[in-house]
Amino acid sequence: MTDVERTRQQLDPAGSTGIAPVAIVLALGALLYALVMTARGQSEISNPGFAGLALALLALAGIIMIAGARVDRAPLGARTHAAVHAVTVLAIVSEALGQAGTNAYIRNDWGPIALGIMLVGLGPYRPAKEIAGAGMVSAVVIAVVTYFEVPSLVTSGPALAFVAVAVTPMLALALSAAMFSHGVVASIERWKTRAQAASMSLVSELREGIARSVQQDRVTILNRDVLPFFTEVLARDTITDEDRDRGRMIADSIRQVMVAEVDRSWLESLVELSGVERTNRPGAARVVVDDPDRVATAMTVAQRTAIRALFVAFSSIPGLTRNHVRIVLGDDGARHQGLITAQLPSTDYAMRSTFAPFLAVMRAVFTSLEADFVHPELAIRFTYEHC
Amino acid sequence: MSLGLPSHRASRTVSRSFGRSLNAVAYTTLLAALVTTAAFQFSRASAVLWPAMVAITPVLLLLYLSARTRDTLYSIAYLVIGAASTFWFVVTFYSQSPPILESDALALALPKIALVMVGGSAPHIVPRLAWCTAGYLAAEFSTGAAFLVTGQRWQFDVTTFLAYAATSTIFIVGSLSRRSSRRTQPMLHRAARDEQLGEMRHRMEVKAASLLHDTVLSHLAAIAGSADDVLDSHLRRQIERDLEILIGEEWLTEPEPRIDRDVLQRWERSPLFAAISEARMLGLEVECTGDMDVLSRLDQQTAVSLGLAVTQCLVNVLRHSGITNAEVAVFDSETDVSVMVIDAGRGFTEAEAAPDRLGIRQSVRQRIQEVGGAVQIWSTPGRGTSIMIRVPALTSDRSSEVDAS
Repeated sequence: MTDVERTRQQLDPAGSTGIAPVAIVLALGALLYALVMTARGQSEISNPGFAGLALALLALAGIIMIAGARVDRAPLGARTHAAVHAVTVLAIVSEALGQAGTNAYIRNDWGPIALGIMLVGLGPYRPAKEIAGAGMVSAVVIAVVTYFEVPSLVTSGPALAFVAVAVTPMLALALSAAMFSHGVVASIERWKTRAQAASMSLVSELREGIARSVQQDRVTILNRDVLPFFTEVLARDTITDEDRDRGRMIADSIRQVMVAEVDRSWLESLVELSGVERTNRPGAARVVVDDPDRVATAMTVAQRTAIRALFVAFSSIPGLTRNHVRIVLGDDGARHQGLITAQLPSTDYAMRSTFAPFLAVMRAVFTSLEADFVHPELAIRFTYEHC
Repeated sequence: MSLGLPSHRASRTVSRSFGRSLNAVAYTTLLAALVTTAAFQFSRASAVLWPAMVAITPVLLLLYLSARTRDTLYSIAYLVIGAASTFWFVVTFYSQSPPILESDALALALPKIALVMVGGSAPHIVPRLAWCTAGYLAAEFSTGAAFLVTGQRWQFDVTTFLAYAATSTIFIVGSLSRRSSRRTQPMLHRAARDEQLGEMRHRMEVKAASLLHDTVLSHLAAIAGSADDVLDSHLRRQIERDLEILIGEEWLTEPEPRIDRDVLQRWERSPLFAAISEARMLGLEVECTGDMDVLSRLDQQTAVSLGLAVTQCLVNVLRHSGITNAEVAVFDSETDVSVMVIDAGRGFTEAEAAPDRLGIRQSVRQRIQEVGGAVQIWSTPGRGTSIMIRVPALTSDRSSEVDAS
């Protein structure tokens, strides 16, 4: 698992599975805008090769962004941003070269606005500081490029005015993308603090009930064998050989129960106590969970929660029972690995929309994750680090 | 782990952040309008462009106020004053002779774009689109009026229209794409709560197991191994006492954690806290449970020995368990204070223990026995280790039994 960055996609993986269309629309919009502007300003083009290259580069940047925004490629990292940004800046330079000496109007230059649109597309995926910082750096590049274009402009005026006019749209969009990223992240963090406090208080409310239930389980065991035995021995005040044997036997059986309980991993408890269908069925874990190296315990709280959430999703599918689910955990030496398979009654499309958010959450917390669905089997392969 | 926002908050958050990002665009374009005007003014000293700069100032002020208060009244004022200012701005430029800019110049679009971004305060998509449209119309009407007054030829302003179209598109696509995650959030939050509860239950089961081990199993072992045919009176008393507790009382109920400043201070000054802090510095995640205030029932020497012993246990967890987290549970009885160090790591059998496991024997067992306490170790290979350290408390007589297991 990599460190979580302060981005909407990484802090709200489940909530951001649906945002990819925004990136697609914006990338296409930027390209469409560039095409229209190029057509409008045909007379200003002195070097069609560079003008064409500029459009091709913008298309490439759009493809990189759309590919990076795909849910199964999450999270979109700094490298993808750098690639999109650098290719778009190259497109800006290429566009300027295409109109070298013949650029008449700044307003027909699509480059800076296209970059701004791309940055808006990256808003949900990258931290505010990164977007704003990169936007500032590119503003300098655009300023320099515009400075060299001033002599050929139709309108006469100070270079600073044209530079400001050329840089402003990109800068405005970059800052707006940064504000968006910052606003959402800050809100998620505020909510998280409050949710944690609420959940702590809920857990402490339930503490007593759980304690009572755990104790009751023990008392039930004691009442069955131990209590009658002790009462009998205490009443007689003597110890016979038979008592010694019986004492040993009871001790053995209690120890077995205790060891089984203490050894039971959280995953086995999940399957037995709160798993699919949420009915208690001791022993079910052995059928569902195959964890010979006992690596379930090595998962972090976040990883456990993601798997629990997946099980909650399983339990919400009508007709799906524990018999349809299997979990195999192992270790290849370098990493722990897991495979969850489920026989689902739903069709491909329904499956995708139901499980996409859960897979997004898992993808955010596990080192790697691959999900395949070949009707009726959903197979989720994941790896995680040794703790 | 970050679960993200529940859906009812998500839409509000995203919409509020949209609002902020619109404000950012408005600020940038207004400031750029100021810079551009200043640049033209400096380059042509004969021109009178300062009124255009004055026109931008109240718009900036109203933008600040409406962004801050999210008050509809300020938004309306922003629109009205903004339209008037845009009129003034454009007229100022066109009153110059010869005219400085063409009618569709980008510089003139700057205050207009700021007007389009008025939708910041609206909470939902429809009113937001309405605000945006109102902003766009106000901008176009005010510049149209300016063209009429100064006798300029009107040209369609592509830039402002694109800003309007792009903003509206982002609103619409953004609000459509949010619908998919509505069902997920409650499930995620339930999973997170289940995880916490599961963890707590497991801890209690471990605690219950060690308590049963201490009491019932040890009595059963004593009976099974007794050479005498008569029940030992000491064992008898113990059985009677333990049965009473096990059946009659709520022995697992942990007291509600309450934060008391004095208790916190006392706890932070204790050698046990120092031991845990030290282990945390070494990279071990230590979770503390139980009533830390019972440590005040220890005399200075016992407290120091307990701290040193726990340090050794935690160091052992780091060195041998293969995991990086442990739990330290503190509880007390009438006569003594117990500290349990629990890890879910590799575990060991005493026979196969590495030579430096002697640390447990020397640094832990001996040290604790010196202050009249006892140490018990439960460990199974592959299943973790629990070490129980019991030391006499101040109010009791110091002769509490030494458990030799």
